[in-house]
Formats: sequence, structure tokens, C-alpha cells
Amino acid sequence: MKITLDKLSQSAEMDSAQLISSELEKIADSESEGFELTDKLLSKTLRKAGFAMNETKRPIKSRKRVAFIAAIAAAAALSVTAGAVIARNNMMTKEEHQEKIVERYGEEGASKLDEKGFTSDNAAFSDHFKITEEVNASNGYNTLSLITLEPIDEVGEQFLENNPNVDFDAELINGAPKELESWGMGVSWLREDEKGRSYYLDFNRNTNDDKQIKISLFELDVPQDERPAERGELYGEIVIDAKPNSKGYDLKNANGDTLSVYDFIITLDKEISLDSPEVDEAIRNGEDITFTDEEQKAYNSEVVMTLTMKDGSVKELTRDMLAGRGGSREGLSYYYLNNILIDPEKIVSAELMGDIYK
Amino acid sequence: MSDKELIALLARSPEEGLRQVIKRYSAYVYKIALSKLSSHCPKEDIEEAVSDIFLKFFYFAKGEGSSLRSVAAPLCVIAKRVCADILRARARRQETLALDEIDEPAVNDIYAEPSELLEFIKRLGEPDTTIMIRRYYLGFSAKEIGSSLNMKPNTVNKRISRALDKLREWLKEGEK
Repeated sequence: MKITLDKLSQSAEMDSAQLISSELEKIADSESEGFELTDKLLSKTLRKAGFAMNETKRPIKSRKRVAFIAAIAAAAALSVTAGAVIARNNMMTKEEHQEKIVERYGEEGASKLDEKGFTSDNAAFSDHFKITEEVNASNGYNTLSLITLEPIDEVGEQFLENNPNVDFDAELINGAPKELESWGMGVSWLREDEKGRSYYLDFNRNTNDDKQIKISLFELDVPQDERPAERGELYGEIVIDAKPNSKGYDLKNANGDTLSVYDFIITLDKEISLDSPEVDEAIRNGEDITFTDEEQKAYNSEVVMTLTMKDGSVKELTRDMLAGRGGSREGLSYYYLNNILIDPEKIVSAELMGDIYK
Repeated sequence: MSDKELIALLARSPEEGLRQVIKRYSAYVYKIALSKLSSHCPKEDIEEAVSDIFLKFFYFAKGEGSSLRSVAAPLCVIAKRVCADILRARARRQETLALDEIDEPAVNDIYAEPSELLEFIKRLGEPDTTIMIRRYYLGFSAKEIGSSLNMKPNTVNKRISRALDKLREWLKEGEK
């Protein structure tokens, strides 16, 4: 088809381009001197092609603790492209998965989790990753899950090596749409080694219907400048159960307020703060509170709850043993137990911020 | 590394081949993308486009296998296609960007098959061949061409003007 010369720049026919291939080659050579973006473009393209990068690495600002609120979003299509992928031959063993639990809960806690049926062998594979759910505990409203993201080939390894940041999405599946309006997810980074990364997740809902939750893990690109972080490739997805598998034990105070103790979480049917009166007042007044590291450590080590057990022993729970969350059910306080488990059926009474519950 | 060597390397070791293609052609592809997208896209989007171009080339080269004849030519064609797609998408999203902004200034009286136009441009001889390819095939501005060839934009424009006269003359002769 005939065209005018001014349209030649839009001509994208392979055959006609071949006519001037040697001229184009010369032009390419003359343009390359002093070009500074080659490494960046090389890195970007090789990642998209699914190749490892031996020569270039993306700049990463710092290893950041990940803490996100889940957004309800449709998972993007898996777009990590499989190139000449070489599978790893040192996948995590069962014992290594068990170590992830021990790292979080200690030997005794890990045994207890196993005895109570909270350990899980739920796993899902994507092109380059395996996602394993190590622990699952739920009272229906609140669910905790310990998951490990493990690369299964060199592409996956390279993704994690070049970017320590991971983003999460969660979606209730088989649930009525209105239920999605009021729930949340918390994610905290737990442990990383050369074989994978483990994350501690909690999900908080306003219903306790039997449901499953689909968790999607994404690459998260955190620029070195002030630009906002951007979600990258989808690493993979796993569906976890949110069915109640932990039975609660209720205690009441003189006012009839109910403190419900589960193996992994304590909930109270009213909102209270675990902070000191001074800190609470400062928060109410919008004032900044500055602690030195030592002051912070001392503050976090203050006992805020004591549990008296049937055998007469007392368990003291400090602020840093409890991870408070809120938002899914108004008028409710709930505290996930960090790194520890308790036996709710063995509790006689509890004292929380000076108030006794029996 | 020449195109011939790059093609052999792509067949032998695709990953290393892609690395070397990017090393040799990143400035070239970037400049093509820049000339087409700089008025409409931020720098980050242009870099994304360039990496997409290399990726598309990589898959094209895999598909072509031993039939691949050149690297520079398909890279240029793929770059044009990717940039055109981006501009079309932006034109759809932003009504303020009229599609005719994509077009070059009119040279309506020089009218032929693309291959015929390129054959004529090759006949001009250097440096006019490279100037005309850069101007009319790759869409570079006179200023950009001058900067690459160490010429003043005025000089580039004069050479273009004389080259256009020759093309008109040859086309007329062809019609006779």
C-alpha cells in the first residue's frame, strides 16, 4: 500500500525494515555511547522475561516491616513469565516447615499447636512459588495464619533476592458481598531465611460463618525516592479456612462484661485500651509521645493482664505479648497472643487493667 | 557484537542473547520510544515501554528461530508498534490527545510503497540516508539528529530539504 513520506515513521512492516537493517544497526551503534539507562533496562527486561539477574540488582531502600490493611481486590492474572526456568532442588523439608512454627512459638508451643490440630499442611503452587500454611487457628470471627512463601525455581529466588517487600490481598470466598464491607487483615513479617519467608497474618470478620479466605501475595516495589510503593507481579495465591477450630472460655466481670479466652486470642465485648492513662490522654489530645528505646522496652514489658490457672499458677501477659486489633466488630476489643498459646479450659480468672473476670 | 553474532547467541543461549541485545540496543530502542512518547508519557512509562519492546522482540526471535535475519530491524518495527499501541490507548483515555498528534508533518507529494521510499532513501548516500531514516522512518527531530551527528539543526534541515527534492525527482522519473 502506498503511503506519503510523512507516514513512513508509522510504517511497521518487517519486510521493509529489513531493507535498511544495516543502516539501523549503524544508527544503534552511534546512539549507544554514554547511554546511562542500559543496566536499569537490562534489569527490568530480564525480570519480565523470567531470567535471573547476575549483573544488575534493583535498588531497594531498606528491609521494611510489612504491615498492611487488606484491600478487597480481584487478583491480577499471573504474569510472571516462565522463561528457561531451572527448578530448585532444595525445597523445604517437612522438618524445615516445622522449624518455622518453632521459631514463632518455641518447641513447647509447636507441640501444643500440633496436639490441638492447629498445624496445617495446606499448600498451593504458582509458577515460581510454593505457599504453605503452617498454622491455622480460628474462632470464626478471628483467624490467624502462619504462611511461608518459598521460591521453587531460580526466577522465584531472584524475585525475593532482589526485593524484600511483599504485598498482600485477601478476599472472602463463598461469602455474601455485604460481609466484605467490614473486615480486615493484619500482616507482620516474621522470619526470613534462604529458603523462604514466613508471615503471621490475622483476619478479623464481622460474621463467624464457615468461610474460606483467599490470600494473594504480590511483589511490592518500594522506590528509593518519595514515590509511592507499587504492587508488582503476583507471586501466588492460597485459600485458607476461617472455620472455628478453637473453643472459647468465657469469664465475666462484676458489670457482666465478657472476656472470651481462646488458644490464640482474647476478646472482650467492650472497647478498652491497653495503654497507660498518660498515653491514652496524649493520644486523645493528638500529642506526640516520644519514648527512648529503653523506655519503650520497659513500657512494653509492663503486665496488663494476669491469668490465674486451675493449678494455682499465674500467667502474666505484658503489652508486647498481646497484639491489639480493632475494626471488624465495633465495641469489641481483641488481643492476639504473640508467640504464645494458652489453654482456655485451664483458666479460673483473669485480671485485665485492674478489672477482675471470673 | 554484530547482529549476526547476536542471532547465533540468541539461538544458543536465549538468556545471554537477550542480555547482549539489550546492551547493544538499549539506547537505540530508548531513543525511538522517547521520540514517539516523550510528549505524552512520563520517563518511567517510557522505560516500561522499552523493556516491553525487548521482551516482545525476545519472543519474536524465539518464534523466528533460524529465520531471524536482523536484530535492528525487528526491534525498530516492534518499538513502533508498541509505541503506537500506547499512544492509541492514551488517545482513547484522554480526549485532549487527538490522534492526529501522532502524525508527522505532511510531505504529501512524496507518495510510494514503504519499501520503495526506503530504497530511494538508501540511494541518497551518507550522511543523507541516515538523516532521512532518522527523520522519516524513526521520527527523530532535526535537533535530535543534529545532536547525534554533530550537526546544527539548520544544517540537518537543509540536507533534508535537498534530499526531499531528490526523492521527488526520482519519483517523477519513475512515473515516466
